[in-house]
Amino acid sequence: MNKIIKKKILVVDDEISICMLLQNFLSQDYEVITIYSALEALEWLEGNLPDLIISDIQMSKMDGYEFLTKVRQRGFTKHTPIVMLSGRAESKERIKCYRLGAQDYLTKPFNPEELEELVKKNLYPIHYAIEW
Amino acid sequence: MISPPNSNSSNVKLYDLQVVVQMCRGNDEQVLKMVEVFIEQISQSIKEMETAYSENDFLKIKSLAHKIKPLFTYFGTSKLEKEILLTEVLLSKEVISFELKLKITNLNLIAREVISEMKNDFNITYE
Repeated sequence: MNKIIKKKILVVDDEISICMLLQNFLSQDYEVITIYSALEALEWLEGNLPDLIISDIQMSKMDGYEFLTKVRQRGFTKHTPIVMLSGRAESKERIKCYRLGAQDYLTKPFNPEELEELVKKNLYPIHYAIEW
Repeated sequence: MISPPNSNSSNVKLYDLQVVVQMCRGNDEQVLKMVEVFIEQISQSIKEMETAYSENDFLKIKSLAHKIKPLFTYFGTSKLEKEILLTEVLLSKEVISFELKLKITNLNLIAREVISEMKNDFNITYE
């Protein structure tokens, strides 16, 4: 019997309830790892390689910008798609994230269906385009 | 939408779990866990806002308000959502005012109402 290997998503947010919501929502189709701080997430990335990272911006100790920069500087995660989450809707925040190497940006509170589409788009870019 | 065990549908609810239920894929156990975490987190955050106010820590209040705002939307607590938006308007003036203290007190009062209703609906007995 073929075992289906689920794509791995790393969620980084210091808000427990946001992590739980994302875990509950995405774990049906993906393997979801939730980590409550950017520093711990970087440690986790030393030995693991996710297919997608979803990260909050406003976090204590290390914020999402610094985390994004460090992830992009590392060889293994240089091209891992990253979706940034933020409570701020200003375009300058989005531009900053894109310039630092994020693929997408979602404003909290987000529509779960939009998140689902962004995840699919980033995990399966070619298949997603063919469906158009 | 899944109704909480003790929900009285004739009353206007202070919260709406439609989005939470959607994100929990209709799993009652996960919805209950989310409600418990929400109760704990909101109580804690508002307590921290009050402490931050007494310490004149404007940035901390701003950061806490920014953090909890999306949760009010996910849990459909429109009264809290409205109140936090008004609090953010005050925070945009970047001064610690008595008006801000009243807003935080009001947030606390509304949060207590919401929490009390949630606890009753979901048979949550702990303090």
